[in-house]
Amino acid sequence: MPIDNNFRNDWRIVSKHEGHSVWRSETGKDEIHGMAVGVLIESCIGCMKCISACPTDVFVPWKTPQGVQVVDPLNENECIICLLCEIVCPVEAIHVHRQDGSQETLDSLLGDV
Amino acid sequence: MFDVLLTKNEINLREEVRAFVRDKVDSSLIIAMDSREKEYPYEFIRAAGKAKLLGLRFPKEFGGRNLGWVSEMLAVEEMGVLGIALGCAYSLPSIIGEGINRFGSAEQKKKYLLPTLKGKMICGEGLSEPRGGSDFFGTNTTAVEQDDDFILNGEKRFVAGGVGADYFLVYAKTDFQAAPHKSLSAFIVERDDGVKVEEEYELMGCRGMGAARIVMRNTEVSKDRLVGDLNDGNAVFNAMMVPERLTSAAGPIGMGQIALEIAARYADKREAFGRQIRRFEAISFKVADCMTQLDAARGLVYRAAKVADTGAWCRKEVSQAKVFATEAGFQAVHEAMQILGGIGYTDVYPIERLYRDARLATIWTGSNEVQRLIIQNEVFREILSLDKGQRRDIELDTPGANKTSEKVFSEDSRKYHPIGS
Repeated sequence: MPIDNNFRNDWRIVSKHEGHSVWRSETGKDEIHGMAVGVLIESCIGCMKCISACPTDVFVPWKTPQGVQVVDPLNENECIICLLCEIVCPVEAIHVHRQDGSQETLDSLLGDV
Repeated sequence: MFDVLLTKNEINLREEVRAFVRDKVDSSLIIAMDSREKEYPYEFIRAAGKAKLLGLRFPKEFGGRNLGWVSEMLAVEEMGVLGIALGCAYSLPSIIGEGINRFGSAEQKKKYLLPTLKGKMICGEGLSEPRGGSDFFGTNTTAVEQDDDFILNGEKRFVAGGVGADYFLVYAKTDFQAAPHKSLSAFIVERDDGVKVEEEYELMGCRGMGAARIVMRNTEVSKDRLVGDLNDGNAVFNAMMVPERLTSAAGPIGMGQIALEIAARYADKREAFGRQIRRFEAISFKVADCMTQLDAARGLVYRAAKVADTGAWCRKEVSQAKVFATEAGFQAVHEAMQILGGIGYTDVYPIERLYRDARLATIWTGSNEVQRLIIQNEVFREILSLDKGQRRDIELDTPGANKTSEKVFSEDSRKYHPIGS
């Protein structure tokens, strides 16, 4: 199951883990770790491809309390939004928060301010 | 061919640069750069500095020649013959220099501009970020005041001289509440301040310029390295975009010109079907069209340079020149390769290198898409602010001019709605 790209709006934060947020869906079954970089724990297969791809070492291996080997976005603040992790993830378990678009920055560029 | 529009001094300068390009730059340097055997063309910068060819527009006291923009465009076009990488190396002192010369302190000019124009110091520019380059005012890099310093955090991507430069002109957000155009500031950041290179890019062309992603983490930069006013990076940016885009425009004209000259000579000698291939219109018309485009590009570049020389706002002219000249330059190289056929696709001729080089020109220094965004914005502003009373109202020169009910610009979507508006 791919990660819900709207989790930051539709899910709720239920706890913290290693400094980042832990989110739960409405149904309360699935868990996402991270804010800037979200990992859907239930979908992650622990292939570690994101760890190899990430240029800023955002991810670390982590074993869930149930003993499942997954990755955790421990260093999500280092993310440079290159989206390589999203590209290499075979199960689409990762979502990176994009920069908000801004009409203001476009107006500044065009001198319409 | 443009001599009719140039002064004697400008022609003399062009000849001087042409001689420098011919005699002072060894082929081995160009080949080493393109072969990824060379990190940065230090010797080229030293030679250009020694010949007093860097930063031609700037005051003599800082190593310039106090010349105009037209002169600089002539020089950049000639340097363009060497390819985009050396053209870039040649242009950077003009781009960074514009920021320092116009907005820098006397101390900054002495410490950075002077040695840069002498070819003794290498400069770079930190503008694009991983999140983007075109959306400049969305810059994520931050600078926070702390005692006598600013603490910089962030990263800049595709920095020419990321490997090789001694210092960078870096933009960072300094006001976290203000509107984007009032929130950025420009800083001189020295490599030795703690700038790290985290990625050296393998490029299709433009090789040997140390293009890299540089990272600043809690990098301390003393307050006297602020360029211009705090939170007015907007002014520095707008000033630097003139040389950034005009040099980007002039260089590809040189690349296109030299590729077309190779192709014309080749077409004059090469035979097919028992005659020189230039005798076929399919070949000769390419030469005609490309040279016409290159000359038109020169027209736009020198027009923009003339406007820049007056000190007037010239964003539209500069962007028009950048778009047209980079596309004309690339098209000329592209057609030159077509004229040479298979051998043009090999390294027997330098056209394949120029092709890889010229492809970058439409992307960098504000993509051509962004330039078109700027141009349309300036054009709409210009037209919509015109005093219509000064011109003939040609909208009346048609039989249906008085049919005002037919001149419809919008309509209430509820006009015919069954429950009324």
